[in-house]
Amino acid sequence: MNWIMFIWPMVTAACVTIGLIHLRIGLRRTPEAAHVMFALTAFVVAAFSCLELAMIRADSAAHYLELQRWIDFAGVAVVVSMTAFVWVFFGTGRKWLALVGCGLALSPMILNLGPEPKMIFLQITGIKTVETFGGATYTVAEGTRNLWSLLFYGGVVLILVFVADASATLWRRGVRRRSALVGGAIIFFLLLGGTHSAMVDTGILTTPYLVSFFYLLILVAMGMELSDDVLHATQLATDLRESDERLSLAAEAVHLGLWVWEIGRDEFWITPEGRALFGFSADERINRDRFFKAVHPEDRETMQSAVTKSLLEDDVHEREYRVVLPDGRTRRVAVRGRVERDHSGTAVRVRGVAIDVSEHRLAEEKIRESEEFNRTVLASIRSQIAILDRAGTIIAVNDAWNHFALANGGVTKAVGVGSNYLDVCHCSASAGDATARRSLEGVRSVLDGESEFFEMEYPCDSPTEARWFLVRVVPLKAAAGGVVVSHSDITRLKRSELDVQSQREELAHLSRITMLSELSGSLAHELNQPLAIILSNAQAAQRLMAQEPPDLAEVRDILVDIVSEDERAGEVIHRMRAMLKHGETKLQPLVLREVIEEALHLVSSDLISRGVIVDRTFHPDGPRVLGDAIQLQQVLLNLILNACDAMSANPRLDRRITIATELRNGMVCVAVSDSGCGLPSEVERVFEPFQTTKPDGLGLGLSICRTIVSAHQGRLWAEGNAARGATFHIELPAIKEVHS
Amino acid sequence: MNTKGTIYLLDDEPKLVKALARLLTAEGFNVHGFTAVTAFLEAYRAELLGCLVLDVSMPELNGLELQQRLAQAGVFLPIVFLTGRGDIPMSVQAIKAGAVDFLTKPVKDADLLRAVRAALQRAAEQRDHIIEMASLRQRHASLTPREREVMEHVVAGRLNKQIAADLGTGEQTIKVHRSRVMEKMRVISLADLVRAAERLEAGKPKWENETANEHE
Repeated sequence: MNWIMFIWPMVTAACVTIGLIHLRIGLRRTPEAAHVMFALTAFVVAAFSCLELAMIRADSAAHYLELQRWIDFAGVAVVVSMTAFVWVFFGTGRKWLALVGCGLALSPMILNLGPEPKMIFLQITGIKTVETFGGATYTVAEGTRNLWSLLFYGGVVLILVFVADASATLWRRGVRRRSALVGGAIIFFLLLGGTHSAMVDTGILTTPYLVSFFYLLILVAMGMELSDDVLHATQLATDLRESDERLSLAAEAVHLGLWVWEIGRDEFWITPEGRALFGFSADERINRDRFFKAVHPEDRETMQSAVTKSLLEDDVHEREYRVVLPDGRTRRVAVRGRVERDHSGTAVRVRGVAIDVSEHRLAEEKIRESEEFNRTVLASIRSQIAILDRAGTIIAVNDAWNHFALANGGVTKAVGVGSNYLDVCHCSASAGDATARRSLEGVRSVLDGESEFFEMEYPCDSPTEARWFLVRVVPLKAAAGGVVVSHSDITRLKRSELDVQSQREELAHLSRITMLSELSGSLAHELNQPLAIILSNAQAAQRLMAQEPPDLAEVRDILVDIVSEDERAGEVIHRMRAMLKHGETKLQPLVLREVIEEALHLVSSDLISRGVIVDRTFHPDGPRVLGDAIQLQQVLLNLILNACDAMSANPRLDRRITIATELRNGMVCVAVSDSGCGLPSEVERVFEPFQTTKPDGLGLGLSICRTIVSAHQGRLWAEGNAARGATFHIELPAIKEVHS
Repeated sequence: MNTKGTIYLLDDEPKLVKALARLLTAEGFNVHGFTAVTAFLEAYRAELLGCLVLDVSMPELNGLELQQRLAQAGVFLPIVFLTGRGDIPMSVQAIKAGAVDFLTKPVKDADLLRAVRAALQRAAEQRDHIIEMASLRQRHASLTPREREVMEHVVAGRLNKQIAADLGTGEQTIKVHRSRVMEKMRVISLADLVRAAERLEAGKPKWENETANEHE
């Protein structure tokens, strides 16, 4: 036993061990050719190492020669397997170089195919035993060398070039450590092993082959590479576990199911959440068909075609399916998968996730329904509605708005979403449209929060008919502010309102005529007076003219009087005509005191003949109200005449009416008091139509008075006086005077 | 008859007062115009021959009431009423109470002048009557009590003999008394004496009696 007997088997063992390790790695679930190739080189070298040892211990020339044949084959196998390993492991290198190198290395093998191997030795003369250090001995052969064997080394040189080229390419690609370590080790191996073997073959050196020893270089390099991989893999595994845990946690939290479909084996890996989602049991084996069965029958076809399509064309599969659970419930599951392909483009597996979106869809559906409902409601409203933002820009309108804009062409066309309502109003207001100006002010005040509400009626005639609209502006109940503007067609309402108004006017007119006929005696007197004065003056003038000489100065005075009396008569007629006039309500600013005086003029002679005295207490400023002079006069006349009637039983000197005006809380109040017979116990009855105490009265007077006052936004009511008689109160809104 | 006199105008309408005053002045009347009752009452002079043109509807006191007041106060002033409206009941009442006329405004000059003249005529008659009555009473007052007794009997149509028997004197005495009565009363015939006695009995003109009856 010498050291040689220990060293060679150790090398062999090392090669086999490392080879086995790489073979194990290479034959994992996903085979890796590089490791397998490396394992092959290791095994080949191990065999080579056995042959080396056998040759060292050869005891006959024939035996030596036979071993020489096999070791030649092993040498070629080492070169070829090494080339294949580099080709696979580096992924670089020139194919032709590899093929030519391998071919060249193989070519001298022909010489070994005969009954006697002729590649190294043409003829063996004998063997001799050489002693080396430590007393160890080895066998070498002697004989004629065949120099054709150098062809093999030519191949080795080419392979060496191939490896250097492949390493350089790999280096340039940035995989420097691998190219330097593994590439360098292989180059050294080929260089040292090749040179040494060539020198042995040519007889320059008389040593045994040491290829397996040089291979140790590669083993060391690959070991380092492998240990690095292992360390890296350990780290990766840790990271992966953590990330996996994180992912699982997250997935669990949102009930996300993860799955992988190995297409080749038609097998699904799927997380427990995923199984729960699709209603799979915990240990059930899931394949494509099982998956399809879980989906609602109506969705299967869609799924089929979608899966096919994504496998063939798309890389991403994203769909929602209804899944029928074992208990019959249906849920909606969103599935997303990514197709992984091998280098040839064939789909290998699909990884993906699945999540229950039933509630999400339900919520979406509800929102959609609610939106649809709101939209429908808005669309069903016949008023034209626009929503303005804080700046007055129209942000939404309903169908009616659009229809109206379309139907009314050019002018309103500009009033669509995106245009500014205020600008449009401003434009029209500048052109002198008073309605637009009021509308503009109204919208602004609501937008600015100065008022809670704005409402305005306005005429808006179409070419064929008179129309009325009502615009309403209310604040939009949103944090960002804004308003809702609605325009409604109130033509029908307005028409009936106008009908009512005209009927009221008709009735008021009738009542005025009745009242005037009551007053006719008094009015005749009123008219008679100036006529009497005129006549007497004229006749006096005739006499004065007949005198000799005529008193012209006096005649001149008379003429002045005649003119003034004529005017007075004209005024009476004018007043009467106004009262008889069948006019529309004309609102204008009025000083109530003047209206009262005018009414008193009309009844003055009646008051005198009835012996009624009128006391007036008027507010000094004479606040103004907006009203129709004739109608308000009618109300006052009515109240005054009623007061006179109420006092007809009083003695002549005890008939007194007090008319007072005052300003109270922005309202002008008129009180007409008498000292007559007072009111019935149910005071309000006097305002009911056809209630009368007069034998020839219609009983409409006070009822009409109340309608008139109400139409003036005022109030009319009656109160019994503490002592005796009654007081009628009129309250009308005063015009807000702007004091400069 | 061209009886000029004083005319009082009372109407609450100053312009009308002025116009009527112009007209009446032009006719030569002495015209005083008033617009208030009190002013008129202050200015009224009973000794002047006059009449009142009065508006029926005065504010504080109406025409008919004033007419009544005047009558009650013994003021005999003929009244021509003016009215703005043709009020028949009122005109009847006024005429019954002695009004000369009841005119509706506007009043024609002829109507007014006729009424005013009638009123003044009546005023003049009234004055004459008052003067006559005053002298009649004076004459009657100058008779002795015996003569007044005899006169009553004579007027009653008794014969001298019957009177003498009633008074217990001789027929001749009665004759003397009778002639003295005729002389003092300044009458010539018995008929005249009877008329004078009637007037004394009545004491007032005929229309005044009627008015008095009306008010009793």
